[in-house]
Amino acid sequence: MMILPLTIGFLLPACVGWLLLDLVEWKVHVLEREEKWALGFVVGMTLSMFVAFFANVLLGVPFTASGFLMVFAALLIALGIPWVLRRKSVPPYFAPLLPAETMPRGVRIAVMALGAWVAVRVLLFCLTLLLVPSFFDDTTDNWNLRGKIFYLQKSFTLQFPWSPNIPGVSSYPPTVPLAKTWLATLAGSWQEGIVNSIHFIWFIALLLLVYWTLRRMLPMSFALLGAIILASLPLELIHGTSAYADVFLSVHLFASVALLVHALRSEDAGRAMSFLRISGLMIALVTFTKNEGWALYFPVLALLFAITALWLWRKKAVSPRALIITALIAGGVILAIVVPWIAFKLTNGLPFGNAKGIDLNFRWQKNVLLSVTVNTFFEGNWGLLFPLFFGLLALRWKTAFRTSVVTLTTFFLIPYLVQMFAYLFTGLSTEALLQTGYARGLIHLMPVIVTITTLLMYDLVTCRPTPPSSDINRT
Amino acid sequence: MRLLPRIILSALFLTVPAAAFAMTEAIWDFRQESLPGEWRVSNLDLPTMTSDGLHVTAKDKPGSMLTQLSLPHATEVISIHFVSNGQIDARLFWHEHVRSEDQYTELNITIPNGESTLDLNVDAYAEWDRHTDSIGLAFPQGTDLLLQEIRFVHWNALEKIAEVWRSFWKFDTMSPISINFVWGPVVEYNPLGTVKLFTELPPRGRSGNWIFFFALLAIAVVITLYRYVAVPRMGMKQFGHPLVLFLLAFGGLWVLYDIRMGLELLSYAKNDYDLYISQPQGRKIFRNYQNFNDIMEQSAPYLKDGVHFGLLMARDAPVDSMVRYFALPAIMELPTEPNNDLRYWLMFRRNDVTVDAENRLSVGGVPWSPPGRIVTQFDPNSFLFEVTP
Repeated sequence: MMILPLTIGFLLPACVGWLLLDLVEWKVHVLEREEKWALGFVVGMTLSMFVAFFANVLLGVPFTASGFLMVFAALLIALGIPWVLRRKSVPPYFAPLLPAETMPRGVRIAVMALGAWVAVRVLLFCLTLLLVPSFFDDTTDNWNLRGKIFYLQKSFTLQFPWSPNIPGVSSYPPTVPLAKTWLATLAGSWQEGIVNSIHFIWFIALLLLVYWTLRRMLPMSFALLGAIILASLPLELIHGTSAYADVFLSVHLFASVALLVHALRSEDAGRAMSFLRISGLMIALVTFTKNEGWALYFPVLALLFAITALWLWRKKAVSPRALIITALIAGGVILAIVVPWIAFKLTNGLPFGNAKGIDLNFRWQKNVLLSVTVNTFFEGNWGLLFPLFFGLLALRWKTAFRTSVVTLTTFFLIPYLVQMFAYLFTGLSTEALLQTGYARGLIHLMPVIVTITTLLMYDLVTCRPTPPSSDINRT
Repeated sequence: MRLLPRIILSALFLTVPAAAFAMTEAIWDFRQESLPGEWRVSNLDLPTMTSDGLHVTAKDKPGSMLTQLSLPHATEVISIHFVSNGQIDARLFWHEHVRSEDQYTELNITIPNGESTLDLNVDAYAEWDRHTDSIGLAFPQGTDLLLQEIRFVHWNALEKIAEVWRSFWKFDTMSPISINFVWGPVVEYNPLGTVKLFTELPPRGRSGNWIFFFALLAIAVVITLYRYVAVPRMGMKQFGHPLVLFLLAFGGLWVLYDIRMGLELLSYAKNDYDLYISQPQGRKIFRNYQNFNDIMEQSAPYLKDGVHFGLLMARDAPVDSMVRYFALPAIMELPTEPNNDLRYWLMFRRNDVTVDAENRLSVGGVPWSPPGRIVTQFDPNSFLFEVTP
C-alpha cells in the first residue's frame, strides 16, 4: 500500500533535483552517479517545496494532488528542456580515478563486519519508523502538526484552527511539513508511516553523501568506515529515524561545506567552479530548512564560500572571469531563495531566530560547562567519538588547519564556539542545561565532525595527508 | 591451555577464601528477645519489644530513634522490614564523619501500609558514609508500626566488579528525552543499584564511559612504556608505530562500546515490536505512553472532521498536544467547566470522572454534559463518552 505513493513521492523530487544539479554543473560534471541522485533528492525536495509554498501563497495553487503535480510538472519542464537541449553539447562524464585501496584485507573485512552490524540497526529503526506512531514533542507540536494542517486545509496557514494567534513554530520554513503534506496527498490520507518515511530517506542520502565525500579522498574501506561511524552513533541514528528536522538540516549543511572542500582540492578550474556553483545552490537552500539554517549557519557558509572563491583566485587556479560568473550565479541563486523567504517573514512579522530571544546581559551561567561535558563525553550519545575527534585535532593539527580540511574544521569551530558562548554566557543556557539545543547543534555538525575524524585518522594511520585530488579521467 | 598453568590457576582459585566472593550482611532482628543496638529515643512513645518486632508509635508528636553503629564492614545497602498501620513519610538519618557530631544527613523514605521491606541503595548518594558511626529513623506524628529487621549489606571488591559488568549491560528504554540524549552505559556496584537503574531520573550510578577512559589511559601508558623503555632499553621488538597501536586498541574499545549501545538500540526496536507492532488493537502499549496511542486509534472512527470533543486528562499525564495532533481533523477542547455543546468527551487517566445515574458525565460528582453513553472503555480510568442527541 505504501510502495506506490512513496516511490512517486521520492522519485519526482529526485528527478527535479537531478536535473537542477545537472544544469548547475553545466558542462563540467563532477558528481558521481549515486551521489548526484542522493544530492538530487535532497535538493529536489527542498526546492520543490519552496516552489509549492510560494505557488500556494502567491498564486493560490492548492496542496492537492493536482496542485503538487502542477508544481512538479512546471519544474520538470523548466529544468528538463535545458537538459534535452544541452545533452548533445555536454561532454560525456568520466569519473575521476578514485584513491586505490591500500588497507590490508583484515581491515577491510573488519569494516565490512562493522558495517553489517550497523546496517541491521539502521534497517530495524527504519522499520520501526514506518510502523509506530509519532513519538517526540517537536513532531506532534511542529513538523507533523503543521504538515497535517496543511494537508487538511489544502493550503498554507500560519495559524492553527483552534487559535487566531500565530504560534512560534510557524516561523520555521515549511519545507519539512510540506514534504509530509505532499506524501499524504499521494497516499490519499494522513498515515504516520508514510509521512515519516521521508526522514529515513534523508538519513540514507546523508550517509551516501558522507561516503562519496570521503571516497574522493580516501580508499573505499576508509570512506565506508566514515559512513559507518556516522550511522553507528546512537543519537544520530535516533535522529535519522525520527520525525525531526535536524538530520534534514545537517545534510544541507554537510553538502554545502563538503563541496567547498572539493572545489579547493580540484586541480582543474572547470571542476572547481562546478563544485562552487553547486555549493552555492546548497547554501541557498540552507535558508529554507530550519531557523538555525538562516540565523546561525548561513553566515558561516557564505563566509567560507567567499574565502574559497578568493583562495582559488589567489592561487590563480581559475580565471577571474570564470570566478566572477560563478560567484554571480551562486549569488543569484542565493538571492532567489533568500529574498522571497525573508520578505515573507518580514511581511508576516515572523521572528528570524528561534522562538526564544537572547538575553544580552552576558554573565557566566552556572553548571553549563558540566552539562556540556556530560553530554559530550559521559553519555551514550556519541560513543567514543569525541575523545577521538579532539585527540586527532590535536595530533594532526597541521592537516586539520593547513590543508583543505581547514574548511571543514572552520565550519565546525565557528558555529560550535558561537553556540558555546551563547550557552555559557546568556539565557540560552537552558538549552545546554536541559541538553536540548546543545545536542541538536551537534547533530547538525555531526557529518562534518565524522568526516574530519575519518580524514585525520587516515592521515595518522598512513602518516601522510589525504591523496591529492585526481582529475585524471578514466580512459 | 598447558597443564601446568591450569593447575596453578585452579590452585589459586581453591585457596582464595570463599568469603572473597560472598556478600556480607549484619542483621538486626527486632523479633528476638534482646534489642539489637542501643537506641536513644526522642519524642516517640516508648517503643516496646514484641515477638513480632519493635512496636514504634508517635501518638502526640513526631519523634526519632538513634543508635551508634560499629560494623566490621562498610555498608552499601540498608534493608528495613516494617509492618505499618498506614503509609508513613519517614526519614533515615546518619552521621557523616566529615560533619560535626550533632549534624546528621537525612534521606526521605516512604513506608507503605502493611508489611513491606524498604531496600535502600544508600551507597548511591554522595552524602552516604559507608562507615557511619550512628544511624537513626525519624517518624511523623501518627506513626504506628512494627520494626522487624534492619540489614546492613556489603559487597566486596570482586562482587562489585562483577556488578559493574552486569549493570554495564542493563539497558534503558526509549523515552521522550531520547531525542536529546541517551544515558548510555551506567554502572552500579551492588545488585540493588542494578535493579533500580533507569527507574529514577537521572540514574544514580556512574557513567560507564569512565571505564573506557581509564582503559585508554592505561593503554596509552603501557604503549608509551613499551616504546620508550622496553624497546630501547630492554631490546624488545617494536611492532608498530605507537599511535597506530593506540588507535588499534581504541578501535577494540570502540567496537565493545558499539556492541553495547547497538544492543540497547536493538532492544528499543524489540520492545516496540513486542508491545506495540505485534499486538492487536486494544492491547497495544507504546513506550512510556502506554495505551495512549491505542486509545487514539480506537477513538479515530468517532472523532471525525468537524467534530468538537472535550479532553479531560490527568494532571500527571499532559497529553493534550498529542491528542490535538492525533485527533485532527476533529477539534479538541480543554473544558474547565460543564459544557453542553461537545458531542464527544475523551477521558484519559481520570479516576474522578464517571457516568451518573442519569447517564451524564460527572466530574467530582458534578454533571458536566447532557446524557450520553460510554462508547469505548479503554481502561478503568479512560473512556470515550458520546452525548446522545
